[in-house]
Amino acid sequence: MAGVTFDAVTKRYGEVTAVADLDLDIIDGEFLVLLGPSGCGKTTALRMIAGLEDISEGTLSIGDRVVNDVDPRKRDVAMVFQSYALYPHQNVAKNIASPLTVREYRVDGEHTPRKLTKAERETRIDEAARMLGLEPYLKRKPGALSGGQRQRVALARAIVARPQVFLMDEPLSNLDAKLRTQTRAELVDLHRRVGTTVVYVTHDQVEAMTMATRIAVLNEGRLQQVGTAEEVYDTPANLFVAGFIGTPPMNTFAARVSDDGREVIIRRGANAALDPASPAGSVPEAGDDTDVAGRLSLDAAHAAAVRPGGEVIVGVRPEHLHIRGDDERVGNGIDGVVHNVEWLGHEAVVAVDVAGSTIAVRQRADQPLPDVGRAVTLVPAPRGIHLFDPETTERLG
Amino acid sequence: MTDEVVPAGPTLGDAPAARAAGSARHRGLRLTGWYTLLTVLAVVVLFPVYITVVRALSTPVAYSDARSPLYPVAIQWDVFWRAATSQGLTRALTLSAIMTIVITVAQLVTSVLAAYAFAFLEFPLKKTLFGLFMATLMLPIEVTLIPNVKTVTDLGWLNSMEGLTVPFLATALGTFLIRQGFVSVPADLRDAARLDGYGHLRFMWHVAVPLARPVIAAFTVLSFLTAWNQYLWPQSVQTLDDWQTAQVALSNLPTAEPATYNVGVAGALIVALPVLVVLLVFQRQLVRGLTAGAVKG
Amino acid sequence: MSGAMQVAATDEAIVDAPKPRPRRRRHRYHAGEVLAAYLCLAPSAVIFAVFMYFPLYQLFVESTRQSNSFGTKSRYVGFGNITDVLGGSDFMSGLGHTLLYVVYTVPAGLVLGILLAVVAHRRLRGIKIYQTIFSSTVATSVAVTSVIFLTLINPSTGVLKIDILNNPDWALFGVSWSSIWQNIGLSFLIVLAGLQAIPEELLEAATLDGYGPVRRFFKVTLPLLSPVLLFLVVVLVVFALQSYAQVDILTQGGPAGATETLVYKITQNQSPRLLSQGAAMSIGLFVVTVIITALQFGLLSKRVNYDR
Repeated sequence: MAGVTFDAVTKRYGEVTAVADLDLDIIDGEFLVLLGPSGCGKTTALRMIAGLEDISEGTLSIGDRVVNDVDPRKRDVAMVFQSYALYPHQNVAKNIASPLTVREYRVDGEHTPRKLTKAERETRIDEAARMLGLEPYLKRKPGALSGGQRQRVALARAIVARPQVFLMDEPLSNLDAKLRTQTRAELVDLHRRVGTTVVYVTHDQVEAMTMATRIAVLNEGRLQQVGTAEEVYDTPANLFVAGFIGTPPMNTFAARVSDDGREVIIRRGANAALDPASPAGSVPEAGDDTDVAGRLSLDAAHAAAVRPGGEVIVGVRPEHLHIRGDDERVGNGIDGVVHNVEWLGHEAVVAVDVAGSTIAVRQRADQPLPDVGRAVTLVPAPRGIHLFDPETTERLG
Repeated sequence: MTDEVVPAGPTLGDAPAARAAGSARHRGLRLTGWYTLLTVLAVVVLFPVYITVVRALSTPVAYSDARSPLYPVAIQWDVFWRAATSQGLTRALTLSAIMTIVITVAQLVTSVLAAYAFAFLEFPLKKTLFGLFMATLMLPIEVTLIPNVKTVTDLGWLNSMEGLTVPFLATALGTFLIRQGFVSVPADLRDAARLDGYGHLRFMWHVAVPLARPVIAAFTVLSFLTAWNQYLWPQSVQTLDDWQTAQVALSNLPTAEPATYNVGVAGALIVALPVLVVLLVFQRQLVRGLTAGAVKG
Repeated sequence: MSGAMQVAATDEAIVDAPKPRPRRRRHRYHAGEVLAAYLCLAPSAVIFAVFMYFPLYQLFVESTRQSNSFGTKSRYVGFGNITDVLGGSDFMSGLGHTLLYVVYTVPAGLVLGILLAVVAHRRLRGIKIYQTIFSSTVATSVAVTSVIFLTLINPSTGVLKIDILNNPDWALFGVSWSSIWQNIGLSFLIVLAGLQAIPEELLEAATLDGYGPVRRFFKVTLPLLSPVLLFLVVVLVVFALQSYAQVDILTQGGPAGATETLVYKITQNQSPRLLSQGAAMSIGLFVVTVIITALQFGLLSKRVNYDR
């Protein structure tokens, strides 16, 4: 087993830079998820590990070995493709066996790699088939299998190679919702049992949050943040991560820090909510201080990070906002009008119009739901406020 | 023709079922009419072949004495056997068979190789070379006949298997068709094979060729038919009767002795037989290949 | 499905790959891959170079030279010789006969193909047998066809006894009958494939719109079939341009040269003394072939758009 290290790795296709200056240490044995929207470079990064794409600049290592110019078959990695990439004309047993027929392996204790004996191959195939419940299907062709079964065959083919690293490219995206949830748990279980490093590419944050040891968030070829699910969710490093992770996404407002530096002022008339995926340049001008939609007081840490009187972007997750009850003490809050209520059974998402844009508020379903059209004040949880620099979109405090 | 058991196409009498009364009889009439039309057309198409069979079976003198009727006269059932075993035709058929097999197998190999390069490999001048390959489709043997006969003569290949086959060992049509089959192999499969350690030969043989089998089969049938049915070239590179292919040997028939004319005609039917068998067995592949490239005899 | 339609379909499949991935041309070539590629191309390239491109070059060399009357020595006379030959009466009569052959065979092939395919494109018990019969002539060689035809119309022993091949005014027309019969199978198959590719919903929609069978055929089926028919026309024209074996077997170019097609003329000009003329005629045939091919490519690219 081994980790994978990207050291200033860049991948260019002509004029287009798919991956820019990527530094990433994937620790031996971890389940690392490369997460990002389509076109963010995550698949390219994965394919560079596999050796299916050349590296334009930088160094890529698997374990201690620099693999920039190593042939894919000699990298000791196995890959599960989104389309599963099963050979349609070969039966399941042959598909699972395919990495074992040509490649050479270092069998336990032995020093030089060699081709496996027939017996060794069969042991591995049987083992993988048993692990994934594929024994009844070994003689079938992929065309005669369900989507879930094909996915298992693809996994089995990766497992038999006993690689140092598993590479998975959106392996669940072709499954229906129910099967996806089930397979997610199985993959986590599988990883726990084999303990091999997994690099897993997805655009689905739920997959990332539920499976990852750590998540690496990418956007436009650049690494945005690496961390556990909690870290990227609770302390997003920038506006992109804040907006990309979480459903509904984090609410954001353009605001001004008060002159005493102890609160932020959200003004009416400014198109306050930001598209988190858009670059920093689109931060709108804040309106006049005289027409205030709300004020939020800052804790000590935040107050230390901002410049009094300066511009700032405020982010609050939907679950960190609640509608102020009649009995609550009047204090900080944002004024708005209820625009829509979505009741989802276990929770409700209330859409509130604030300063011309819609803010999502998540609340428990057993609490009384507000009527549409009612004027409300939204109160943030004490530790639920995130601040970002409008210029760099980096996190403040 | 299509794969499905029920041939595609509109059903006959597909008028709305609501027109109930008397429509069954109406439909029956239309069916009868349609089958009559089909049968008449089939008879017209097959008539020349039927007459040729009649002519082959009939004793020549008796047939012309009977003023060429539509049925065989003084039948000689052994005429096909005699035709097949006659010295000239046996040799011609053998020659044709060897020539056809050599050309078909060679075209398969050269086309698969070239198609593989164009479909899966990256190399300098790829587009130019592909253009040059495809442009050879504008240089049929009818155009290049004179210099090619000269080349073959200079090489001392007149009246030889080399002369018959070598100019046809490669074809751009095969490269084109098989490349079409190859480029539809999913990219993920190629990547998976690379990770599995497959080299070019192994990937070609174990993945690309099996997956492109339908189009390769279509091309094989097409190649076989074209080679077997060739006339101009085999005729141009033989000066000895021993080196006449079956098709070329047929040209002797008009000047054949009237007394053995039936044997000659039977020979023509025998020459047509291999392709007829191929047509019946590989109908689907043939249609696919024909509509892609079109064959000529 | 016609070839071009196949081409279009596969291209589309590539374009609509499940996941758009930056798979652009690599700028870096890999030595091993390049070597493998050239090794793969070498066998075909050698054949093409020696038996297609070199001959083309030779044609130009030969056609610009003129032999003495013994055919023993030749000297350079320039490209004017090519135009002289191509403008000469010999080439023109060959071209004329060939074009006449196109006129005789192509429309007939088109009409017969449509007729048979429309009749046999039905859901009927046993229709496969009829389809096989109609397509059967496709496998017959020109030589076999000629023998069958000769047997059929032989003036003294044939069933039909039509003495047409000895009549200078009608001989070429007579020869063309054999091609018309031989082309039936191919025309039928191509049109049938085209008919089978027409979505049935379109015809059903037309029926609901109140179209009768005849109107439906001319307003819906025929327009949808037109790309396939254009393809068929090109194929039939190429066949007619290359007609040789039927002439060689049935008439040997006679009577009085009335059936000498272009290819037949070329074969008659192979002797050293006439080589220059034969080579120039080959170039003429090449030019006609290029024009037809260009036309075909034009039609193909049009059809791809039509499909989408």
